Amino acid sequence: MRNALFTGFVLSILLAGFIRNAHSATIRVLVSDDRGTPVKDAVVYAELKEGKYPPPKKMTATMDQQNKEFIPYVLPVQIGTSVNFPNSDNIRHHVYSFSPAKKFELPLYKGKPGNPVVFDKQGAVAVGCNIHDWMIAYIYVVDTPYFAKTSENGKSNLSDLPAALYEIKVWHPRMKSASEITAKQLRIQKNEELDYRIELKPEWRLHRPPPSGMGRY
Amino acid sequence: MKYFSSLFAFLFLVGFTEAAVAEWSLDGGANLVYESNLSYAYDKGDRKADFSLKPFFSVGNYNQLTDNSRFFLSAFFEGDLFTRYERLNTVSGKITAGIKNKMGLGAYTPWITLYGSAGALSSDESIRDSFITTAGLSIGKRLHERVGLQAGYEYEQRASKNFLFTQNNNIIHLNLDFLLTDSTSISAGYALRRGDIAAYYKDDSYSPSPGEVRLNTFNTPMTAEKIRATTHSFSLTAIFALTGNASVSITGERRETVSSGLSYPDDAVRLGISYSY
Repeated sequence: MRNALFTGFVLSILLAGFIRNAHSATIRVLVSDDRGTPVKDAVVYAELKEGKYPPPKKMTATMDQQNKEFIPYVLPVQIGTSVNFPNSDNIRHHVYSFSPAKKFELPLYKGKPGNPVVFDKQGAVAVGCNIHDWMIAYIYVVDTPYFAKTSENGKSNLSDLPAALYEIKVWHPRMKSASEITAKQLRIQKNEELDYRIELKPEWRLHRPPPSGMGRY
Repeated sequence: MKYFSSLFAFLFLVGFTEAAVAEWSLDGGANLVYESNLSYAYDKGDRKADFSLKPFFSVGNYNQLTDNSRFFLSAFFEGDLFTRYERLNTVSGKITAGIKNKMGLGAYTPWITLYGSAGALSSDESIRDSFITTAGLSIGKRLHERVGLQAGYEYEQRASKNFLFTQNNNIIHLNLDFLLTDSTSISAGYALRRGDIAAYYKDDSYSPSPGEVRLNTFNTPMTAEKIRATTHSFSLTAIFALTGNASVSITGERRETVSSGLSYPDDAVRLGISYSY
């Protein structure tokens, strides 16, 4: 009897996994620049063109401040996500954004600020520190639960996509054109591979001001 | 001097009220400098050129007083070692205190800095030993993600036992920074200095006269006199960031000093390496 129960349990798990796999797919995306160099920190996201997204869960994310830099440099989130901005440095930071998708300010603080910031509008949010002007990071807010960020090798996976028609787009802080230009429509039924070539603007930011005795600030 | 002391006492007091959230910086490095007219001579034959090595070290403390105001206190030490004219070898140190105020939020917001410094200079040629105090203000603004502009005024007072090196100067400066790549920046500067200089000339039939001193600074007897002069200084600097903390730089500078219709030109080239911890 115990054996029958155990066998049934294992079979039901395998069956559930099979059904899930039968209805979901993974898109492997490679993003490179116009010279063919892999691009890291590109946000890849798939927007449904038919059907509905699963009901949103409570979503949280973190953008830390370590050694006078924001970590990560690019943070993709879904609309409605609460983002925490802990300060892991032993000095104070003053976080702000002027971006239309989310204007906010967290005046001078150390440790963890009181409330997270909720990102409720789609788009790119440039985040800065008013004390250390070289500190810059980006939060990219998407209206889909299917998103990922490319790693050092320019690759990322959009996993567990239910079979449907999607528009897949790419965004990067230094991209010359809007992410709409990158849109590729695709009916997903099985695992797919996609390559993107994007044109990047040069980065004009010195990571830190060069040392020059007095007057760095 | 009384005003400087009061300013420093005030700035120290303000600074240490927020010491618990202080931010520190340590900078060190060295410059290799060539100057074509160390003797400030108008006659070509009297112009003395030399190379010098200038190691430096500085420690700074920064306290955010309000959302937009920051107090800073820094100590700066420098050596100056010449290859030919060793009497010019110098060690110096100064303490600078100031307040920087950013006029709002964001990287493009203008800022203003008020500062004062006090320091001492000790030379192999002891007649040069001096106390130097300065007071100044700088204003600046980032105009574009690649372009920054700053300007300022500084008053400098040098007190020495000898009248020759008891000097005061007024300086106005303007600087434009341009980011060439993500690791290279170019800085163009102009400074107008009105003040005293110690100018040298060779005078074989020397007879002492008021306002002049006979010195062997340049390994040969020369007459030095204090004159009031105007200097126009043009400089161009390229800074290459090696890592997030280290950089090398090269500067070319042309100083055109004029007094009573005579010209005292000086060209300088400086190669530097610095590291910020």
